[in-house]
Amino acid sequence: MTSIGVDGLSNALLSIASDEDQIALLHHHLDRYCHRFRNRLNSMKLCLYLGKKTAGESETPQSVWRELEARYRVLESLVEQFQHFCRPFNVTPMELPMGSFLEELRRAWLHRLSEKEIDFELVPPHHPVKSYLDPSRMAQGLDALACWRGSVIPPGSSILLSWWEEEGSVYLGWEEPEPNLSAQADPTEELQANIALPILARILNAHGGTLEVSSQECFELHLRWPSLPVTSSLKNEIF
Amino acid sequence: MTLLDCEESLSGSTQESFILLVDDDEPSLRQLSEVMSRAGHRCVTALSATDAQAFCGSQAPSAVVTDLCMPGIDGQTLGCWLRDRFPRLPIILMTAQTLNVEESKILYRTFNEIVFKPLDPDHLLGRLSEMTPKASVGKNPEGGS
Repeated sequence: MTSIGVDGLSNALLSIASDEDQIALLHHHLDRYCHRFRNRLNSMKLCLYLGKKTAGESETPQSVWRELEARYRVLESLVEQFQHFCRPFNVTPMELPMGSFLEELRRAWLHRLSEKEIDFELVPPHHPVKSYLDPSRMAQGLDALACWRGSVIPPGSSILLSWWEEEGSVYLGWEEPEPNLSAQADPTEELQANIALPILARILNAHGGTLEVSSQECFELHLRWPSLPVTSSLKNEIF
Repeated sequence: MTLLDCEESLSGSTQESFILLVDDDEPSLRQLSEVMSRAGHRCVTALSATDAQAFCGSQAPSAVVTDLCMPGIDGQTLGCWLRDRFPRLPIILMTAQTLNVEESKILYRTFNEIVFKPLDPDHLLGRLSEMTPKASVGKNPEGGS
């Protein structure tokens, strides 16, 4: 596991992403705290709204409001993602052609990535691959990943997404051929979405799968999960 | 009864419409009241469901925005109590909790809308404007004055 673009919180959550007992404990202990924190965020957001409404445009530059709002959104997004990670959920796998599933995601991400001139390319296998997965959950996890990587990699970068089937498993490879330069990214943007990996890892675990991040210079992520439905009901019910 | 930031005197029966805001989180309540007031709504605020019930014993608000989790009587119980008294009253529930589909379905039997904290003030104001048109000023949700 690499630490490329992954901070302490993300690493800590990744280390327990496959341990449902630990996640349940975390949820139990921090749920009330998150509730209070959301109330504080609510107050902060209303203050920002009122401040912006009451301040004359000439008094406070718009750039200051934009930065305040951006920093506020970082906090809100982090709490949202943290709760998303801890929350109990079920997966309902169904058979899907991987090509069309990923093409739909690509279309959804295209606008966001093209804003930063990031080239996103699907690299299909020689033979079509079908997979059993929960399209909604898997899309949530991959969307969090795309949001995170889209925010940390430099403009003009490229991302390759490939998939294949091998020895009873479906593999999904996320590659960024350019050397990782996430250190140059806006730190607030990076913080915003960098618990995407634990979220994705937990969703994969619910599918009976695993996630691996390469330790090479370039960011590479490989996801793997069984081609056929996992028969154990424990894999479909997360408490 | 503890009521905060009443825009006008609340002694006696008010003939003008007002929105009742209920939340045990005092800073949020105060700021929400300010947001509403700036948008032209008259507001009455209550820090508990008990306070809200006591106030509604004598007067009918034109709409209610209440928090879900509060010490003592919670927002859901308050919503049911209000719905029994004022069947057509627009009631909006706000919550810092995450709700699953089943929980939302149950709550929508009582509440007209559920909004999540941190609130989107423009969305909330928009929904309130739809539910409480300016023409209703001076009338209560039962059609009387």
